[in-house]
Amino acid sequence: MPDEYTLAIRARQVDRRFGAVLALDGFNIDVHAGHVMTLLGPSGSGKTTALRLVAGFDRPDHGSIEVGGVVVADESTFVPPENRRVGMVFQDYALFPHMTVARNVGYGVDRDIRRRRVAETLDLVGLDGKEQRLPHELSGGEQQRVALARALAPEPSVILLDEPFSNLDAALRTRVRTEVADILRTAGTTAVFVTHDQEEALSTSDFVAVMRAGQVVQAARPTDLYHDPVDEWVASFLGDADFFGGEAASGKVATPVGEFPTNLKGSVRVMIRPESVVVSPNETGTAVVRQRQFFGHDQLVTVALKEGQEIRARLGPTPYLEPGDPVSVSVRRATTFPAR
Amino acid sequence: MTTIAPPRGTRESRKPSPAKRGRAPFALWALGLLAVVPATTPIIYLLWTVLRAGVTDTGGIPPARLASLFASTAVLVAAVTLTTAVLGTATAWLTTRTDLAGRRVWSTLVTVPLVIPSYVGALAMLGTSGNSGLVTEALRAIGLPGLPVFTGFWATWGALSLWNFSYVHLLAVPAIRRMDPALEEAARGLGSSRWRTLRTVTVAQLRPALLSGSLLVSLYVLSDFGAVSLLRYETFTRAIYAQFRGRLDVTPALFLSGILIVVALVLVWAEQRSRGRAALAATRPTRVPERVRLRGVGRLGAYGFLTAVVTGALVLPLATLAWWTIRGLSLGNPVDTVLPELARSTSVAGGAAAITVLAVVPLAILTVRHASRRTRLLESVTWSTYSLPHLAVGLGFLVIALRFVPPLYQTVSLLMVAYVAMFLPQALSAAQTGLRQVGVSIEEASRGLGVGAFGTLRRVTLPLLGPSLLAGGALVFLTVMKELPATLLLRPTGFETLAVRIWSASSELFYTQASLAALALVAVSAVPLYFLVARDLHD
Repeated sequence: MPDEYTLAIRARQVDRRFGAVLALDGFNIDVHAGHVMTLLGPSGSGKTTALRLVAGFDRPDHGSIEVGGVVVADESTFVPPENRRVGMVFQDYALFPHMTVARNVGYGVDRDIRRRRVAETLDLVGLDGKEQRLPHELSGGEQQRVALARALAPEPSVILLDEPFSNLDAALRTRVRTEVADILRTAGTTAVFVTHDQEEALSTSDFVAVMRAGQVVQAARPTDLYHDPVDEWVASFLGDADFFGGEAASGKVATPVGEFPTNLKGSVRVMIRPESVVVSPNETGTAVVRQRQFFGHDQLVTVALKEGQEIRARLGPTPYLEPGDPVSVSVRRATTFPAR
Repeated sequence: MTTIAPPRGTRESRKPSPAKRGRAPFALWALGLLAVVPATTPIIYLLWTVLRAGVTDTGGIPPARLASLFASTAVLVAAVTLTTAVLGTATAWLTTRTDLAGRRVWSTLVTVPLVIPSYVGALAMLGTSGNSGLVTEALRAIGLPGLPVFTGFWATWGALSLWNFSYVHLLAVPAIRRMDPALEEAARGLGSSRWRTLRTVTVAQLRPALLSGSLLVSLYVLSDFGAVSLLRYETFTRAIYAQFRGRLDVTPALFLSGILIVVALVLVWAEQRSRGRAALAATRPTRVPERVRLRGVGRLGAYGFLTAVVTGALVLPLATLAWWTIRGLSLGNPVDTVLPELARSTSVAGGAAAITVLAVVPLAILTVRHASRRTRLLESVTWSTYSLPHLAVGLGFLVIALRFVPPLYQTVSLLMVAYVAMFLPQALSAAQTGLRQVGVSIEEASRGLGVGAFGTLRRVTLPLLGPSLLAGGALVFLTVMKELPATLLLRPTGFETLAVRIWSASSELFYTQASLAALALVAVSAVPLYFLVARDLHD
């Protein structure tokens, strides 16, 4: 598919400073057309700033941004937001409170095709029949879908979604998230989400770009990102992980929980995720159960190794383990980084 | 073990409002300055007059005269401020913390006197007392001697206290509501006596509101022209008007106005500072305090006090005005004599309100959406002219027109410019509040959907801002209706508004005519003002 390799958004070396705060510091990103990309990072990492620069609500201090192959912002160019064909779904939805659902959705559409597009998009998001409601008469989830429909209606080349699910309660969030991802894939639109929620990022995106201190530190498919993070910080940010130190020699590194293959040399760090750890009851085992948190569908077991370190294992609801039980530990998968 | 707990699924706090939208467009600055510059020019001109005179002479005013003016003005300001603080706190406390019947009604009744401008109050004082006054006639009817005419210090003090204490009430009510009863209980539990608790805890919590209210009242008393001129008590404003009327040379009047502005600016500055402090100290109490149960003499005294205040500030003046009006009508005065004045008042007030609202929109967008150090400076410059004595500001406009743009002298246009300049901050604050409620993201959503900056303003921002602009405009309308000193100075010859008619008829002792005009003024301003005040009080 040639589309796969067309860039919908391209940003190079973008800086943005707010007073003393450098919100973006050499920000780079490539978003392929038709992909759902998520910018993931902790508070203050510059995700929202990046999104606002792409939308045209703010100007970069340095660097360049292209949307659909056209330069929209650089040292000499600034295309105002209304001419970028970029749709935005805001965290607070930003629905026009004085307009009905239909007028909100039709706001950005040319008059001659407005009726048709409003009907189509409301059908797409499953809100047909609510055309004449006012935003405050809708539930949170419905408002969310109106915001999405409004952004989709002018058929933008890219849709940006700023923490779109953060105003929904936890139970609703998972459902709406899946719905929105489906709608976006049906519409075939390129979408960029911003979130600080790892689970949301990993479950809804084709690509995830992890941000820290105004830069993208790693961009990859969710599975690759989870299993092959570039450093300890990314590894910990994406989920629980335990780390061991070791010396790499002849393609291997030895740890208290076994030997792992590595391409590195010298001092290395080994990352192990709890779900890669298998713990089994063993009368002759050298490790001892230290703590057990039972969640129903699974359990997190902390084990003390004889060398004194601890490791966590995510297991199914069985076996039944008590603190003090002797166990044996094996690890199915590990990732190595150079030690800093 | 090395584990770094990831901040999994923590809710991220909202981004700080992305108001940093970069530099404001040139057009916004141009329109904003166009609105603000006329407002500040006369003030700067007057200050310059003082500075220049300070090195050479005082415009022919002997220092002893200046000193006595300072003294008489200061005595009045201090006396009225103290009285209003006591009256306003008492009414606020009685209507919020006790178990008196009809607290809401009382609380509204003690704010209604705000519809009575000081010169109307003064007119009522004059019409109550003296040889043919309402109370004198009533006393005579039962064989008692009548009242002497109320003029001079005591009458002025009474009038300004009665028609200003409501400001303190309005500020004290929310402050009392916010007081945390737990603090008083904690003090008592630590062994503090009832009296010490009142002093160190209760009053301390009220202090920011009281300070703010007192400074506001001081400013109003300092600026008052209507009451002091009708009740003949010598203050700065009365002296300025006398100087201006009596001579061809306006320099002494200008010099006095400059001094008045300097004193007022100090009060404005202090008031704005205290307001900031009051906002900082605002906390939410954890629970509602138990109402104080008033019994016996205390309860009777409380009702007596409220009745006396409402009678003095509201019932007696309205009765006096009605009585004089009826007297006039029965003597054959036609009712429709005030209609031309009413029409002039409402049309200049309506026009000024409309222009002010238009002028305020770019200023509000500039200060809210493009906040920067420079727009904050612009905003504080706008506010610094607020509540300065209208007489002085009006004189500044008059002299500037005379010296630099003579064709404007004695025109309705100049009057309008002065109104807009003086009341811009009122409408600005309403527009800013409204604009802050219209989220930035709503405007951005519109831009993102392909609509330009101007289209967004027209289709999204202005429709949402409408109610706030209307409220701001209504406030300006009411204030212009009541404005006296600047109107008196700047109006074209023969251009009589209701306010001017009331004042001039009163000073010529035509109480019947003045009362009719005063009733018309009160009636026109009462209804909208009631809604503005009632909304603030009970929400």
